[in-house]
Amino acid sequence: MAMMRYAEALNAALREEMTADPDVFLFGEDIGRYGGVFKVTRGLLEEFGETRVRDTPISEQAMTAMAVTAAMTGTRPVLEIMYADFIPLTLDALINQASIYNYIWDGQVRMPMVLRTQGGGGAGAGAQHSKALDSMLAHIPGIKVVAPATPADAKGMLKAAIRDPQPVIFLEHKLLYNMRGEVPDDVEVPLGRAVTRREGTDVSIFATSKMVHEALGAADLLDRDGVSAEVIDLRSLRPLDLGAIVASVRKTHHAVVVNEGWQFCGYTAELAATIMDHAFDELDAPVRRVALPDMPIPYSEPLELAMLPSARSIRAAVLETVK
Amino acid sequence: MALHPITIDSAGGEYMDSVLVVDWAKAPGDPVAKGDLLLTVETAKAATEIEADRDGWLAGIAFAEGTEAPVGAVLGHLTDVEGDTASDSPEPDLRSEPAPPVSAARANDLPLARGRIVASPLARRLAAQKAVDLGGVTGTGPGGRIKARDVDRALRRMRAPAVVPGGTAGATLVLLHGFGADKTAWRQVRALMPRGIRTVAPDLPGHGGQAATPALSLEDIAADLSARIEALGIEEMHLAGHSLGGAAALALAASGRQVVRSLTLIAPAGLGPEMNRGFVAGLTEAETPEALAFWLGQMVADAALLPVGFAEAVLAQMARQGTRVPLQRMARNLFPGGRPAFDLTATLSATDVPLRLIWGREDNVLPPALADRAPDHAALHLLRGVGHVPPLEAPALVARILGETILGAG
Repeated sequence: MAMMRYAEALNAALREEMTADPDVFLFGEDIGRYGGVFKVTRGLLEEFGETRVRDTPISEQAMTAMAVTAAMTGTRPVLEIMYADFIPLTLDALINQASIYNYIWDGQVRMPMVLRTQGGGGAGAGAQHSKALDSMLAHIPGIKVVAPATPADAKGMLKAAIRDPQPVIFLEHKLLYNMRGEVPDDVEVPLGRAVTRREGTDVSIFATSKMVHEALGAADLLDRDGVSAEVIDLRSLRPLDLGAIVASVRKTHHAVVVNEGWQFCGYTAELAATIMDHAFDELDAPVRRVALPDMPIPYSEPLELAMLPSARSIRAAVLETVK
Repeated sequence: MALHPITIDSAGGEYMDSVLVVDWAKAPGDPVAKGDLLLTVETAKAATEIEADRDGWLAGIAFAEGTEAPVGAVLGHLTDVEGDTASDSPEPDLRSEPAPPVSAARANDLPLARGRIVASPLARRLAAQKAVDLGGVTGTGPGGRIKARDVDRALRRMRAPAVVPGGTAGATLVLLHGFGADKTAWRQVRALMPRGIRTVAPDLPGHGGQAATPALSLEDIAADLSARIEALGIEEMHLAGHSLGGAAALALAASGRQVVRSLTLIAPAGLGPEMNRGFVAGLTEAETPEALAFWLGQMVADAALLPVGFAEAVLAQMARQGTRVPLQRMARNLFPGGRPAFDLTATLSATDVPLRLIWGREDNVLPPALADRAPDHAALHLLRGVGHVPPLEAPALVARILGETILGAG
């Protein structure tokens, strides 16, 4: 067990997997000499050399196609896209190649690639560097999309993602990199499993990544309101841990779903519909969504903070739901 | 008087309990030609337009726009006589009440539809499991939505002893349908019962959802019903039964397993051998809509009252529920030779709870003269222009008499 930051936990996962498997290699913008904008890959170039830790030009479309080809031909590429805002440049390779080659070639091709990226707001990075485009990625069948909320999950899930035979999109959050937490030495976290971060009886709050921490903050506030909130960290956006979702709704009969992406056609819509598909008769109130309003993210920090889902806005949604 | 009822039948949607009257295209006194649009109602599936089936004038409207009408209810009347608007006597909607106040501005919090019971899915499931009539539950959620806590509160209130002597609050009325029917026979009466009275309508053995467990004697029917009523936690009840259900109600009351506070028998079987001897066999053996329609027509004073396609719907229901064979077995055992195998005259005389009989004067199945065998302490209502099925033919009147009986008996 070691206390480490989220970024350090990711670094440790990469180091361990690269040590264990010579087919694992990294590439991305500024990940080598500079150690990554968020220092996730610090020291790896020195340790593993330029063949396995490669700096690339700004060319997300080509980089993702390269990851597809590398995975098809037997290696395990881990690609870093510096900002999730530029995920749209990778989508052709994901939608028309990575997610379907196994299918159209009847299982003869495996696609063990990982695409790491980070998104989310709250850092004053403006409309072009603050988005969470989770739902765009989770929309694609054939790839997994995960979003760890703690250093332990960051390490355990990145190791699982690298070993996974399917393409895995690994969503990090710029405001979580400095978060410290206990990380067990041999941590293993299977993909597709949710975890209950806090037990409660009156309402279930479902979230991933940084929103888990906002939900936990909301649960603290709700304690004073006399509302006992359960916080479920989904960890994996696709595949969903349906059993955990239904079990919690059966217990509390109220659900609030949270995601940092836009609300319209967003990930919260999928969660709400899933809950109604599988637990309609358990619901004592409509599922309520907490997500981003349909606007660009403002550069002004007060405006940005007013717009992002927060402990306060989640608390307000919960109070509406349980009343 | 030449009044013709305007109704909507249930043949189109078997899960439909009620319709919302959206819009009357005609006002009382307006001339009407066959095929004219009379009104639009909204069902669970879609808006349905009801057209005039004859020329004439719209005589009266029984369910105003925005109110909910039980399926099969008379929505209004057409008349052959111009100016004959005063003679229409709309059935009062005893449940009508002002719409709940709209307190919040969110679209999500607004009542979903006027007249519709708005309840959460969980509240609906709990209410169905515990036989709670949501019509009698006050919602405390947003926009008056009934939540699980409201059903829980209603359940606690039901289980609490009646606090107001002579009042109807917390009273439970158990309704037993007749031979060949099922619990839905009470749909209109239940919808029209005064608020605060919980109604429970079990299927008789061999009928409806109990097709798999027919009972071949009146005692067995009573014992089965008694056990199921007990399982619902009902220890004290008002009891009403129609036809075979009337006989079952009497046998159930006589068994003493539950406290019966009042007994209302509607055209009950078992007060003597006089009976339309072909009826029970005819009902269970008819295999074509035409054959069945004849016997269904025998049941009511005015066969035109039966919705179009009713016989087809009944046959389809028998097939779906698998009730034909159990019903035939029960018919042979309970009505050998087409007459009741039981005589309850002495049991009826020995009944010491408040007792009422309701009988249609035009009953072609069990003649109303049988009511003469009731003891002198029984009150008797003889309904004009009504046949063997008052719950279908005069639901508002039956609901009113039941409500008054419960109020009087306390």
